[in-house]
Amino acid sequence: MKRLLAAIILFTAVAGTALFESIYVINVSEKTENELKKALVQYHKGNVSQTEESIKRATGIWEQSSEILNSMLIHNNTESIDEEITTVKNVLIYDKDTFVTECENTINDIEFIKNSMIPYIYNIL
Amino acid sequence: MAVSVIRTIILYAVILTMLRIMGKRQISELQTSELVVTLLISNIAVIPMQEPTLPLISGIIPIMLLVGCEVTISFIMMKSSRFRGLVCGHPQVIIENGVINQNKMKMLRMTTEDLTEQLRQAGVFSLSDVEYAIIETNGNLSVLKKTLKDNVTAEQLGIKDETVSFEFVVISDGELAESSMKLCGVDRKWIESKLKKSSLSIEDVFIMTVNLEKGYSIIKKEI
Repeated sequence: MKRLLAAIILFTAVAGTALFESIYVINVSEKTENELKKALVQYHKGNVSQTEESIKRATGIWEQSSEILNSMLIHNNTESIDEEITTVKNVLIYDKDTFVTECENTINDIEFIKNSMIPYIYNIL
Repeated sequence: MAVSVIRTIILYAVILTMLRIMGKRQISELQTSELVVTLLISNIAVIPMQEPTLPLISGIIPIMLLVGCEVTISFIMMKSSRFRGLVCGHPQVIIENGVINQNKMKMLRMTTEDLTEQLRQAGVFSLSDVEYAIIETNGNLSVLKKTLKDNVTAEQLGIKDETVSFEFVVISDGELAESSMKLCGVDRKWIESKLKKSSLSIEDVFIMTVNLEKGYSIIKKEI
């Protein structure tokens, strides 16, 4: 019975961790993605300062969560998103022509990480 | 490097804990599912050890899940013989009344060399000595020899029943074994009083054993 209890505890811990990981990563990814999308909208409207604010918020969200994200995701993935957001911030200042492309690429990469958390059949296989 | 060291220690602790939960078995006694889980655990654990960019949890979670599944399967096998048969199979009698069942051997993909090798490992060097031989679900061969070829027992020699007392190790390498002391009904004072007769302390003793009749033996440390 003790071993069975241990097994139940293990299953609960595994399920809890998996659930937490999925919810947390999806949550952080969505928030970051939304901020970047807001940045794109503001950029198209010509509001550079609002765009900067949105990118700053996106950076803040991702950086604050990076420790926990690194404990759950491949470190290279979280670091590359971090770098991409920094690149987006820089191109807004120095190379506006590529801002939209960089921003969309970052959004796509975040979307990829978010979707990898959902147990779709293609993720499982 | 420091990261790899710490990860290795953590994973080692996790594997030890998980194997402890799985229970005590020798490698040769593992059922198929247990062997698979043991091998998988070792392979899974290596991945985050060698790849620092992978999260540690990507190794720990699958290990925990495998052990949980294994313990659950073991519990179900205990409760359901049908399920056990499905997972582990059934023991197969390959020698019955001294006659080899060649069909069973073919079914088990067992060659005559395999059979004779396993018989030798069971201490049997002649096929004619065997009454029954059974391949167990873990692949081991159990052998019942013919009566005239088997070892003599005390009962056959007419020796009267003498109780054999089990010995407990109460001191191991200078340390008291509390659980063994409880089993044989002795305490620290009793042990010290016996050691005093040989002018020894607990730390001087390599092994001290005590049986249920309070008979004891002491082996002193040489180093």
